Amino acid sequence: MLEVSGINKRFGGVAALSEVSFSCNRDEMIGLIGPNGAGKSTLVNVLSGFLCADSGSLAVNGRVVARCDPIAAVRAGIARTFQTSRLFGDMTVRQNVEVAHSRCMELRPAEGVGVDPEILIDECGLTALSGLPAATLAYGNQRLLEIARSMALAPAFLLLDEPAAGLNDAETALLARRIIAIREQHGCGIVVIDHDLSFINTLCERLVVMDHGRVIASGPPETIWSDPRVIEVYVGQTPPTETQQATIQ
Amino acid sequence: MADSSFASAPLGAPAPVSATAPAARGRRRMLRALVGGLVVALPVLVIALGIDLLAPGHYRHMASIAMINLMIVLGLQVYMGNSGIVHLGHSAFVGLGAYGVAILATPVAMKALSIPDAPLGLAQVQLHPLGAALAALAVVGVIALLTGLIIARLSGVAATIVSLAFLIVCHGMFLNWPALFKGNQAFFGIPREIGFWGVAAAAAGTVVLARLFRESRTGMQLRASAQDMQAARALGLDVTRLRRRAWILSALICGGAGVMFAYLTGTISPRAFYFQQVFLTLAMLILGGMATVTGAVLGTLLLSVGLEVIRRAESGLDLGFVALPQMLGLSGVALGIVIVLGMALRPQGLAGRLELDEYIATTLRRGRSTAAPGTAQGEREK
Repeated sequence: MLEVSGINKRFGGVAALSEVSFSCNRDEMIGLIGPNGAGKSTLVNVLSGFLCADSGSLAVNGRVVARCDPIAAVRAGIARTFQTSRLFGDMTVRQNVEVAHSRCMELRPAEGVGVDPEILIDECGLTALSGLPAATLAYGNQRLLEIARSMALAPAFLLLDEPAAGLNDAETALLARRIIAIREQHGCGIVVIDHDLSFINTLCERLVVMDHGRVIASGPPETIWSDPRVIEVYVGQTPPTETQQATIQ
Repeated sequence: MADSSFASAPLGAPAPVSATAPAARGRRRMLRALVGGLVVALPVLVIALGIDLLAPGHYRHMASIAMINLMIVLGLQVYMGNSGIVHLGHSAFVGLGAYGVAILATPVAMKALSIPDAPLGLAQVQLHPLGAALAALAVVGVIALLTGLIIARLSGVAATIVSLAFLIVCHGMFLNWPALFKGNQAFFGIPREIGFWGVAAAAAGTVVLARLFRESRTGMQLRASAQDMQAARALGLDVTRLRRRAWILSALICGGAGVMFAYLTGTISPRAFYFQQVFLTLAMLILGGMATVTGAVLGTLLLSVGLEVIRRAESGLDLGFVALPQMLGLSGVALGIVIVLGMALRPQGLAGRLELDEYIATTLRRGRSTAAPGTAQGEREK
């Protein structure tokens, strides 16, 4: 269980995150959505220890994770990816995954034994490319490699920051199927941020909607898309009430 | 192109049962690194053998100096090549190693003449050369540990400047503490314990050591952090600790080169461990390619030979059909031109991304797949 409670983060006068709380089960895949500037990436940066929250706490399976410490986050079982692919470009596909696996053996020895880099590479369909430098991969494969590399940390929770950004529809569909397959194989909770709502709807059982640094709604997709606050954020206005509709007619 | 096939493996296929566990593969990787290191060290030994058998006597001394330079370049590669941070202070460690054995191993009678007022009663100390070497390396290790605490936290230009400051501090110490280091004058009378083959063995061993470090867990993680710092943080890598380890190993290798230099020549002076050596070894590494151990060897070989040829030409040369006049300073100009051309045409260095053994393996594999394209295709589809 990933428990985020009461996270606040300000950049100068701007409240990037205010009182953000949600939780994610280990068998759950939740979508974190919201317009640009809602604070989604800031939240991922806070949860992965890249940024220091002003207040609030994060716990994995009941154990509080030290703040502002990426090593502590990885040790607790939180792995992340980035909006733009950040690979070790001159190193081969295999080495990219092996680096993560070697660190997993150091930080999470109990889990690390169970993760085989070769199998992860295979599950992402990259076996034929495993000897090539990561920088020479097609963009879609780079995104997959980033996920394989994160999974080599044997995470309990994986935070995917816009994994489908820059992919075409076919690639996005394939990515979604790969993510589902990997989760079935390794069983970790996943928090995925994306602007592609059909991608999110394919993957996620539950959505968390953010706006202006706050969580404004959370629940299964069908209730989320009828929530007036969500509609206001996405459509830009409150749907007309019955009296208004009558007036229009 | 193989890389254009997006996620080519069939979806939902059962994960193949891996033939070897990751731990066994890790051991095999280190074994491959050992073999690879030997492959890169082999040319060094072959050249040494050739010089020993065929060349006139004075070439042996030049080759010994070149192989000590190779050790320094390898020491530089261990830190700079793996961390991606330019290092300008490595000659300080060479000097510390050299002065360490000079102070500890020089006969007492000799020191009564050169450094009679050495502090801590060091003028009355004379250790066995091996003991002195180990003690000198211990001092280098402690100093590397302390400086590493600071420098490993720094990135980019800041780290480079601190390494340069360290060089200047050490040089200042050698110059201005005559009671211990004999100041600007040459420190002579160091027992000449090492010969041509001793230096060759040390250089070849260092090649293997540098390669093993490169492929080790620490080396691999450090190289990853040099490629993308944010991604390295996301994997929970402790970059400071990785850099510190590389810094200390680098210092010990450079210190070892200093010990070799002192035991080979018997005479040292502060000038030998300053800017000229820093830039020469840096040029060697950059020309060869700092990403690989192969690059360090290649760069040292090319510049050592090239500079020797130019040095001959400098004092005038009779080619039979034309006599070249004396051109003093040519070696410096040539060094500059070589670096400029090398960087312009091949910024990664001559060796590029691959080690010699990897390059051979890739070439062989490519040769095989063009001979039997069907098999290669089959492998890819699998």
